[in-house]
Amino acid sequence: MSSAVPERAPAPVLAVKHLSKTYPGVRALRDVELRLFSGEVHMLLGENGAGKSTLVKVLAGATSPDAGAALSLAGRPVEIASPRQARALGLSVIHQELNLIASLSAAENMSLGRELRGRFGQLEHGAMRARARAALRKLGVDFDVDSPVERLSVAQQQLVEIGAALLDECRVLILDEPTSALAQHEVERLGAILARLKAEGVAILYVTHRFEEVFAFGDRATVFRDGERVHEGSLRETSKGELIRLMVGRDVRDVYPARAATVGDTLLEVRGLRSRAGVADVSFDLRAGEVLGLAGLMGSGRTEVARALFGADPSAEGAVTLCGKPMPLGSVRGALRAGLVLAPEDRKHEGLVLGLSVAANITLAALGKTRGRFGQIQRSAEAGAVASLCESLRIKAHSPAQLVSTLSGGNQQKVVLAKWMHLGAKVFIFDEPTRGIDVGAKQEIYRLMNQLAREGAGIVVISSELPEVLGLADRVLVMCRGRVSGELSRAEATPERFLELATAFTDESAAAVSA
Amino acid sequence: MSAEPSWAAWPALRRWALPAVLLALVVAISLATPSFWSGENLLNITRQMSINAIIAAGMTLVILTGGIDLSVGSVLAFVGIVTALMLKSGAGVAVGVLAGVLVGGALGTLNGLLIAFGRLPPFVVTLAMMAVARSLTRVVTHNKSLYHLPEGLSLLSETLDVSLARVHVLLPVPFLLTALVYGLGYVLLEHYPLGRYIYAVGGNEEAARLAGVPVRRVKIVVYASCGALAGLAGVLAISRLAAADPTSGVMMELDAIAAVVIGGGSLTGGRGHIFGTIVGVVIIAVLHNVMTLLDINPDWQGSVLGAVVLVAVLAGKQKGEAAR
Repeated sequence: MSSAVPERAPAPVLAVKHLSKTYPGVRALRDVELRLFSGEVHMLLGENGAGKSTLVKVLAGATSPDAGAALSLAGRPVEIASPRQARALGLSVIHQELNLIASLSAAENMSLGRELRGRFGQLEHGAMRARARAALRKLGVDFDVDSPVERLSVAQQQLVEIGAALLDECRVLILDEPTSALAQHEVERLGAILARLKAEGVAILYVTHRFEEVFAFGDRATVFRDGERVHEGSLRETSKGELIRLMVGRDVRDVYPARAATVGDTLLEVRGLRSRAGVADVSFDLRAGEVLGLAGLMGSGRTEVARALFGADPSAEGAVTLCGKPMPLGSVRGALRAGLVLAPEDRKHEGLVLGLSVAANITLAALGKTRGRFGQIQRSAEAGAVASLCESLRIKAHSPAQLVSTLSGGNQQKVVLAKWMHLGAKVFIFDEPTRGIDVGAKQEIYRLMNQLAREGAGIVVISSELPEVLGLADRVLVMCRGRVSGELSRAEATPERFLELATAFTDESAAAVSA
Repeated sequence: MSAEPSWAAWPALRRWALPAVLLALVVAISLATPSFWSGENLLNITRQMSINAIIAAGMTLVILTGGIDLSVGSVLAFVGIVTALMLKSGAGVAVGVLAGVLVGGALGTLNGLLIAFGRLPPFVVTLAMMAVARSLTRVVTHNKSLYHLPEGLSLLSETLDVSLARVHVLLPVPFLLTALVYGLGYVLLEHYPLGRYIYAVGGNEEAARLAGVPVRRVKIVVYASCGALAGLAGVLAISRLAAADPTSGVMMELDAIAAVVIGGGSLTGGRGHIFGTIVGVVIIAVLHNVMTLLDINPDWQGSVLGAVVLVAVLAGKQKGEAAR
C-alpha cells in the first residue's frame, strides 16, 4: 500500500519492524511495522481485536514481543523490557484508564517516581509544584496543581498525565483512546495541545475509533486488521470510506453456524429506557427465537443498556414488559424473577465467583430449585442438574467440584450460561460473549446461543466485533451516544451501513441529547 | 494444568492438609507431656476451649463473607453483665440465658445494619462497637465484678456423667453446646442456600449480587449470628466463673480470628471451613495447656501463638497466589 513519508523527516524517531506477538492460542500481531516521525500525529486504526492495544502494550513495556522484533528509537536499536525502561527511553503512554492516585494532588502525581530531593533526601515540595505548573503552562492550561486529582475533571486528569510525560522529556507520546470520556470542547482543547507538542517535535501515536478526530488531528495513519498492518499512509490522500474498507475489509467467515430463525411472539418490550450511566432513550422489541444484535462504537451505551435491563444499574428508568408482564427495573432479583439474564463482559468479576466450584456457580442463582423438606439443598438433585448441564454444554472440567478459576475462558463462559439455563431464563443478553475465548470455543458458544433461540428464548448480542454481530443477529440495532440511531435487517447489515449509523449523531445532536 | 489434576482442583484435600499437619504437631508435643493425657486435663481443655470455640464459629461466618468482627470480646462482657443483672433481679436462668443470647444478637445486628446499609468497613464498625460495648459494661458495673449469681446458672458449666451401656462418659455442658454450634454451623454452610451465599459474597460480592444473592441480608445475618454466639459465650463465661467480670473477654477477638486463620480461613473471604476453625481452636487450646503443664512462663504464649498463625498462613498460601 501507499506509504508517503514526509519529506522534512529523513528518518523515523520510532521504527518497529517484524513485530509479532503470540498469546496462547491467539496470534495478536503478525509481523507488523510502524514508523513514527518527529512532529507528526499518527493515527493507529483498526477494529477491536485488530492488535492495536497489543502494540501499545509492547511499546509501553507492559508485554514483550515474540523473538525477531526490531525496534529502533532515533536510529538506535532498543529493547523495551519494562514500563520503567519505556519511560527512560522517552516513550510515554497515556492509557484509556488513567493511571493516577486519586487522593494525591496533581503536582504529587506528576512527581511520582520523578521526585526532586533536597540535600537531606527530603522532598522539595516547592520545586516540584513549580515544575508541575511549568509543565501545564507548556500545555497551555492552568489549574490548581495542589488539589487532589479526584476533584479534577477527566480532561484535567489526562492533562496531568500528559504533563508528567513532558517532565520525562518524552519523544514519543502514545494516546490510547484519549477522548472516550471527554466532552466536545475538551476534545478540541486536546487537539490544540497536540498541535503544541507537535511543534516541539514530539511524535504522537493516537489510537481512536472516531473519524472526526482522525481527520482533524492526524497527519498520517496506520491501519491494522486481524493482527496485520494493512495500510500506512498520509491522511490527505485517504478518505473515510477507504479507511473503513481497510479496517473491516473481509467477509464474515463461516464461523457462524447457519440457522433457520423461527421467530415467535414478542417476548420483551423496552420503551424509553434511560439511565444515568448514559442510556438516553432506548426502545425496542425482542421476539421469542430471535437473535438481536446491539452494536455501536465504544462508549455508545451498548453495555449500559444491558446493565439497565438486568437491574445492575439502579438509576435505570423506563417501561419494560417481559412475557406481557411489567418487569421492575433497578433490581437484579427482579430481572431474574422475570427471567431476564446477562452474561457480562467482565466474566471474572461480574459473572463468576472464581473461588467456588463449577457446581456452586451453576446453581448459585437458583438454589431454591433443589430444596428439600427442611429447606436444605438436596445434594443429589443439585448434582444431577449440574451433571446434565455440564454434559449438554460440554463443559470441560475434571469434576463439578473443580474450582471455576482453573477453567479456560470458553468453559467459564459456559458455566455462566449454565447458571442462567438452570434458572430457566427466557431472555439472554450476551455482552461480548467471546472476549478472550479462542476460536474453537467461540463457535461452541455461538452454537449454544442458536440452540437457546431455537428453544424459544430471546437473545440479545452485544459485541464490539462487528462481524460477530453481523454473523449472529437476525436484526441489528445500532447505537450512538446512548440512543438507537437505526435498525438494520440481516440483509441490510453491512459494515459500511453500520459505521454510518454508529457515527450518525453529529455534534449538534449530541449537544441536544446532553442538554 | 489440564493433563494432571491440579492441586487447586482438590479443594477438600487442600482444605484439610494444613489443619491435619498442625494437629499432628500438637499431638506430638502433647505426647512429650505425660500429664497431658490425664482425663482431668482433657476435660479441662474442652471446658477452656469452648468459649473461644463458640466465638470462633461466629467469626468464621463473618470472615467467610470477607468481613471481620472485633467486637466479640466486648459483647461477651456486656452480655455477661446484662445476664447477671437480670438473674440478680429475679429472672429465671432460662430467661436470663435467652436474653443474653438475644442481646448479643441485637448488637451483632446493629453491626450488620451499619455494614450492609451504611456501607461502612466492617473493621471500623466493629471497632466502634468494641469500644462502646466495653465502655457501657464498665459504666453499668462501676468497673466491679458482680458476684453471688443464682445457683441454677452453674448448670451450664457442669459436667454430665452419662452412662450408656455400661460405658461412662463425662460430658461437660460447654462441650455439648460447642458440638451443637459446630453441627448447626456445618449444616448451614454445607446444606443450606444461606451457606452458599456466604461463600459467594466473600468470594466475589459483585458477581454474587448479579446472581441474585441478597448480599445485604447475608451480611446482616452473619454479624447477627456472630453477636448471638458471642452472647452465648458470655453466658457460659459467667456460669464458669460464677461471677460477671466487666474486664472479661479483652483480646478475645484475636484468639477467635487466629483460630479461623489457622484453620485455613482467608481474611479476604470466600475460603475457609468451619471444621478448620475447630481444629484451629483445638490447636490454640492445646498449646496453651501444654505450655502451662510444662510450666513455661505464660508471657511466652503470645509469641508461640503468633508464630503458629504465621506458619499456618504461609503454608496455606497457594502456589498460584504469588503469580496471580
